[in-house]
Amino acid sequence: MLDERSRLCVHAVFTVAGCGGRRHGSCLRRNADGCLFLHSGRGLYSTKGAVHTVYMKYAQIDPELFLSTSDSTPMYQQIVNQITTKVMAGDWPAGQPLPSIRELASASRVSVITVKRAYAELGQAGVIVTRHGMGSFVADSPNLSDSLLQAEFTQHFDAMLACARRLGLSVDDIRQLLDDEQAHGAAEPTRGSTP
Amino acid sequence: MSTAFALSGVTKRYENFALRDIDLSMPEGQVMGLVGVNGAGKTTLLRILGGLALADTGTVEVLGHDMPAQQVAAKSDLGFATEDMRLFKTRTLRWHMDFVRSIYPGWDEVYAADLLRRFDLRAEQRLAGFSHGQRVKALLMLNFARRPKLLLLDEPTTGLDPVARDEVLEALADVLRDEARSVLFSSHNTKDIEQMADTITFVHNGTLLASRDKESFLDDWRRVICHGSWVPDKAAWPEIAAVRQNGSIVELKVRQFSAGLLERMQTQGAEIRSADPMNLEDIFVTTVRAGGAA
Repeated sequence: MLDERSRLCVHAVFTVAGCGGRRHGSCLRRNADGCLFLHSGRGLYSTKGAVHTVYMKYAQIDPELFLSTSDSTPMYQQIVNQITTKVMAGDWPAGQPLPSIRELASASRVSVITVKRAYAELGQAGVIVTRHGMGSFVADSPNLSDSLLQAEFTQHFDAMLACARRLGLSVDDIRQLLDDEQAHGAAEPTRGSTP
Repeated sequence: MSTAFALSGVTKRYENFALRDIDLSMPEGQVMGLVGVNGAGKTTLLRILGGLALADTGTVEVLGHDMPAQQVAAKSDLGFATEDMRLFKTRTLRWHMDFVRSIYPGWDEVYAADLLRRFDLRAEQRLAGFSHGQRVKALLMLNFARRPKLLLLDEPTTGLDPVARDEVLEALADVLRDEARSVLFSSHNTKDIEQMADTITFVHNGTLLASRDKESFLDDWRRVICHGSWVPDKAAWPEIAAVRQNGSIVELKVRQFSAGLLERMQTQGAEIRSADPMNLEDIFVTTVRAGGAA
């Protein structure tokens, strides 16, 4: 049993005593017989009363996001952005179970409906997948961070073209700017600011 | 799905004020925010649900119990906090805690101790020495520690300093974790409601102006800035709630935003410069000023 488990990357070991008192940990649940259950991406593990240690493949993640009410970005969009960032940075690897909607809402102090909407958008964008009755997981796409970067690039590119049109720049002007940029290389940063 | 409460055709008349024809319900596990100016009817609505006021007409159901016939059963699972509730000045907070515990078997002493610590309250202190903010927090603590299925909170964050407000919102967020528990709260601070509520209900002059899920509600409204000489006639553009013009700049507050609307505006010669989401406060004020439906 342990041999098989040891092949897994064990990030977290929870003891029954240690987990019951965790403020953000709804990972353990007690059923009617007093058995403790652990929710993980791979289903339910029972402690059957005697075993007091449970192994998980994925690290228990902190469900608190840093959201701001003074940010003009809508709250659901802030959630989408932050989870996307975590996935792109590799903080949350493919297959990682996401916090439940209620758990994330409670820990980040936003309404349940806002998190629902954010998860729906993340699902549509292919960042996460939601399996009925199992919860949501980081999508298993090998090129996920590439495709997210691609989407970000396209967005900036379109914005640049729109801006160029308003300035009256022709395609040749833009081409010239690109050539200049290449000629100077990284030695001299271009004029203007980068975000 | 069971409902936390359901009001149907509820009317309540006072000498100078009437709550009229209220149809409103909330599914279990939700947080609903009530927004309205002073005297709009928010407190009357909460008092009727809490069994503290009797509706003249209509039916009231709370946690599956008919009010007022089954109010004893409803009230055992109901928490009601309003600033009007007087605590006993000569008694300590501990005395109040023991009093509430003696009535409600669901009292959770561990949670109560946790809330005392988080709200920075001293159980052995007499209420006479409490500041306004401490009294509000004490009242919320006495309600929260019972873990009631439905919490009715009348202005829970009004008059609190920013730190205390934050503590209260954190405690409110704890309630979200349990999908069987529901919260209905009113607030002048629309930011609190915008942050915590699943459903938003606008109350004005004793009637409901709107009651909708927050995300689609916020999504429908936009503040559009355009350049040019085109100024819409509001009668012909029902999607537009407010128009202001200064020189070549026109500001529109749109209540039913869509890409199609922007296109139609462009064909009228408007040059769209921005179309940004609005916050709840702005939406509420615009709705009330426009004098109609949101």
